[in-house]
Amino acid sequence: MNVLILKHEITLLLLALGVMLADLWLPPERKRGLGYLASAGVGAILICSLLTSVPESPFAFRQMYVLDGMALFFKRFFLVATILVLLMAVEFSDRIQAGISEYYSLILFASAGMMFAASANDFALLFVALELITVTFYVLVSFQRGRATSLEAGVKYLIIGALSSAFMVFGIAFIFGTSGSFNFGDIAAKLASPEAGLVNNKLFLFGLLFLLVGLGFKIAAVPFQIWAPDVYQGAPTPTTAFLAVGSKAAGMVLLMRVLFVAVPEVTAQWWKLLVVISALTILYGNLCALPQTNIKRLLGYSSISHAGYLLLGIAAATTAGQSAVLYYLSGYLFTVLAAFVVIVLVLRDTGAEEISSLAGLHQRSPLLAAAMTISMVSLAGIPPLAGFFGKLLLIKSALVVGAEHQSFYWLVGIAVVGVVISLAYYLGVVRAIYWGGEAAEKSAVTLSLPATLTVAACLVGILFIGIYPNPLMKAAEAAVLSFK
Amino acid sequence: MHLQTLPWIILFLPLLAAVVITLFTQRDRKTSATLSISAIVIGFVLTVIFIKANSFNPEVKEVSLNWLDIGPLQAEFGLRLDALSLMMLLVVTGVGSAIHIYSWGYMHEDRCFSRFFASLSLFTFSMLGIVMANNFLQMFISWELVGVSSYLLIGFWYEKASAADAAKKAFITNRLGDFGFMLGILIVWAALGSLNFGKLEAGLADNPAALGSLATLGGLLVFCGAMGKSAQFPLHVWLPDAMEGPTPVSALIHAATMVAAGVYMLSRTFFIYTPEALQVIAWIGGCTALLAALVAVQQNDIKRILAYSTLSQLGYMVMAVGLAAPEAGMFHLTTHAFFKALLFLGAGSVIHAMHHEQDIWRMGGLCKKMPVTYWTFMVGTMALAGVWPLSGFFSKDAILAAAWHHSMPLFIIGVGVAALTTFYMFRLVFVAFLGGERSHEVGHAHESPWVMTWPLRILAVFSIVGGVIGVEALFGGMLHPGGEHPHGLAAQLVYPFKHAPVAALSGLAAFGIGLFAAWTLYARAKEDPLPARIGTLSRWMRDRFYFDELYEATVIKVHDATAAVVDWFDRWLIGFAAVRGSAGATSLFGNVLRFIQSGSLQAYAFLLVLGVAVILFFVLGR
Amino acid sequence: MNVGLEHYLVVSAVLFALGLLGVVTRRNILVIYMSLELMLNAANLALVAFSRFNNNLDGQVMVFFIITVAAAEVAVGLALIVALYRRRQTTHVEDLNLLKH
Repeated sequence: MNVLILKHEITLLLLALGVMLADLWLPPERKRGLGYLASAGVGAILICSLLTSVPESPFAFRQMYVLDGMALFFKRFFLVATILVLLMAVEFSDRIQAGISEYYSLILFASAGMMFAASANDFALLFVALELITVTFYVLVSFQRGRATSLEAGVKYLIIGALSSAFMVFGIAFIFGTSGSFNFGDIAAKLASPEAGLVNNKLFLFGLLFLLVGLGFKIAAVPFQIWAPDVYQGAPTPTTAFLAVGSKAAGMVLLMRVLFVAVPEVTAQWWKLLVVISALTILYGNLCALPQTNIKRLLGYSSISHAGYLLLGIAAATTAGQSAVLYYLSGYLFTVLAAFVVIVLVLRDTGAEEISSLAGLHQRSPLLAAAMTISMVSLAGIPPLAGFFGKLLLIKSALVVGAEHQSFYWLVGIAVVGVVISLAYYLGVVRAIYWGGEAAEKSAVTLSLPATLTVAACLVGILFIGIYPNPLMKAAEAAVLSFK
Repeated sequence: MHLQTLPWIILFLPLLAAVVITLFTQRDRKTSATLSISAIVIGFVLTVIFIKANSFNPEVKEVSLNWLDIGPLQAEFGLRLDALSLMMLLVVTGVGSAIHIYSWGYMHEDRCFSRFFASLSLFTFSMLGIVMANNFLQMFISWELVGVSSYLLIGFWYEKASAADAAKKAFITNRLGDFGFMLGILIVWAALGSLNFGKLEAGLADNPAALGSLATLGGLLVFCGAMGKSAQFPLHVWLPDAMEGPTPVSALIHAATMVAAGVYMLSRTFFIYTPEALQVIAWIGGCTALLAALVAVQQNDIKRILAYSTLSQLGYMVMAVGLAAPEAGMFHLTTHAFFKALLFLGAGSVIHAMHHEQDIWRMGGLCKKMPVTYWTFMVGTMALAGVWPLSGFFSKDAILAAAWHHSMPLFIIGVGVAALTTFYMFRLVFVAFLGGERSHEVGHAHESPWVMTWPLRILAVFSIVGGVIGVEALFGGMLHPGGEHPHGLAAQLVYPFKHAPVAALSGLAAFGIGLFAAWTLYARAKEDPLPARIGTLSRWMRDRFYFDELYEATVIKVHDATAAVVDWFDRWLIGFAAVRGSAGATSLFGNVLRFIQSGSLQAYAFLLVLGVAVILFFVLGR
Repeated sequence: MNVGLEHYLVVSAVLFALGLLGVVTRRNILVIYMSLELMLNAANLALVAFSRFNNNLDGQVMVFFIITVAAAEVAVGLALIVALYRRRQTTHVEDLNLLKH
């Protein structure tokens, strides 16, 4: 077995431990800067991952771990997200009373969990990777111990998270019991042979459904979405951002691997379930977001609706649908992070998180106002930004399947209605910025150079993916085709 | 060395400058101006380097990326680099650089200095996009961007109602033409299945009948776009009003670039026009040239005279394309860019010195106060009037020669317009620069600072030599390969007299007549003698042949009435009943649904378990 | 009586259901947390039983993973509940009502 195949995860974990250790020696006033160091380290790992290609024998640990094109795509995705979240955390550090270095290293640990999730080819690794992410997030969500809302969000996340893991573990036990293996490849082989009769084994399907509870919780799909708005609102903003991007993407990659590698036959049977869940998730997220006044809570509901759009591509279960999911997630990464960076920077002094406190932002900082506007417009899916193209690809993939199953036309109809509803609240944020009356605070927002660069990087990402979508589309398609 | 990346840099530098200024340096005037100016000057230098390395005829004529391909929809994003686009690139970046630098001086006291430069850079980017586009789609996108950025620039002083109205008028009139342009593009795409200029040209060369019965219509629809941008009759009304913008903008938009885009587009797509379509194009060009020249004779605002003169010269260029001589049109476009930019910037210098007085009858005697402005303006005037051997003579002669070969009536119109041109330009010079002081502002006038006079000097040099530096041979070689063209300075100087002596001589005769008439009427005039002599005609000319009033009475009335009806439908049936109703229902629904999110942890756990139970029931229970 | 696989599974299912009932009905966060641990142990029991009857030791290895992860989860969870108690002087779920709608 080639240990070097895990080089990204190993270096990331070493980096996390290093940050924790550095905390012991650094004087308190220099600890803030540790975040820059950590993100530079992650940047180095990202460059290393860009130079890596899929090895000839992509498996490790008796096929528990796989490094195929899909895994590599998502590893890069998580590394980019980690860099941006770490930079965001540096800007946020004045609002964390103690232990900022632990905050950084916890982000790195969560990121390592996501990297393992991207490569999981076995239910044991799936469970461990997912728990590494979830347990780390319990701490990250409740990190502002002085704020009651942060603690409340933490406890809610803890209980609902533990509940859904319990379901998942119970489900894994039954999958193991009926199929005799944890490995995705073995299970797929068993499903494909008709004499085993696994496709119609009720206990097996029961276990699979329980497993999907755990993954549904991660991506916040109806009916497991219930925790998302409260936790998004209460958690420290960088945590919320990481939750929205990293945790959701980890859930998506595991969902895709389970549905399309381990149990493709069952997925083909269950398309109706996926269609209904997708439709309900889109509607629930968009409708509940309409009356919100807290910007983080609004983004919480919006993230539910985006999970619905992503499920649309999964329900289609075609190569086009899956690569649309990858494309959509990449656009979503930059778009959502742009919004959260602006929230961190603007609401730094006031601490308020109401949409109305963004009023007059264009006078205080044109850059941040433009970033927030572009982010909202992209989330709503207006051309020529990243969000538009993602939605276009998803809907197109669903329409192709619609020729076979009529219900996909209904799903597309609901998706379009969802987009229309979402315009109202996304543009409401834009209206609050430019036409929301005078700013309560007139002073210009001062931006450090790394903060400016972070915002600029997000903007470039949104615009590039939207205006020149071809390279990313091809990369996503290659990743999907390399599924092993 | 091919240096294929240079064109991309040239194209995107101004966009980068515009973005950086908008987002980062709004408060820092100096940095904003530096960014914008350096973007275009670097663009100019890189253009020169590229042409030095590749000559005007690079081996690789196109660089492109696959912009999008989803199934059957394929769009490319590419640059076309041939003599036509490279020469135009030189003109846009070169004249643009002079205007950018000049703007620093002219706009120095303006409050929104940074916004001005950001818009200027955005405009430059869109214009370069038109010039380098290798397909219709990309050209159309840039075309629209030019429309938007010219809206921003014309309406730059939006506090002034007249400026805001002029910006709106320019935008809407252009949109009218663009609508036709878009239909034309769709026809071409439907018939030939491609939008790439190179592929279209090759396809039409293989099979001239490929466009079928729609050929003339498609060509004329595409021409509609040019009619809007190049302000051809009857869509010419926006151009004179657009003079409400700052003078450097007038120079940039209405001399070298935006209005030239139409003529450039016609030359770029010359292969799709049928002889019938060309006939229409030529006559529209000729009529525009004549009408505008007549109107210019009786204007008193210095910028309006120049605006109508631009219109009339654009008419010439369009007429040249219609006479199957696009190389003559492009030649005139190039020389015109130099001398008209010079004239506008000179006018700006005068206006700047006169504290925003634009009436020529309140000037007079400026030649002593502003010597540099005076002599450069004089050069521009002579070039425009077509004095041998200045640049305007050669390019105008090329057009007249084409008319002489193809159509007698258009030739007569062309010569008449040439005489009128000389007449109104020297009227302007005699009244504004010579004679006595007509108002006390002239007493306070003084020469402009060096950032404004140096661009004038440089442009003056090009206005003098622009005709004999081989521009025509370049375009000629590109559009009609194999034709004979003079080489060497001496040969070029006398070429018009050998090639088409009648045209050349009648051009000179027209100049003589115009100058004589202007001298007798205006050299010592205290006020305009023409209204007394030709009465009604003069009033018609002064009031621009009542086109605005005509449109006001017909098009706009009908439009308003339709709009009122549609507005009622929209307001009450759609806005109130449909939109408000469904919006209200949706937000009510959202308000109800959010109460599921009760905040109680136990309820959350219960709902999750319930969700699992429901799914289990539906998937396994049945 | 011969104890077979189904007997173990029934016990495991009963444990799971009891835990679930505890989560949905009890008011004290600590008790809810204990119920959650019960649910995890139900899964452990099922895994061990499957492992024994399938003659496949993988399931027992998985149990070790689950026990380890559960320990980490408990450590974090208890710390969180203590922090909550310090700040709000309560461990009752009804008092968590700042974030809603």
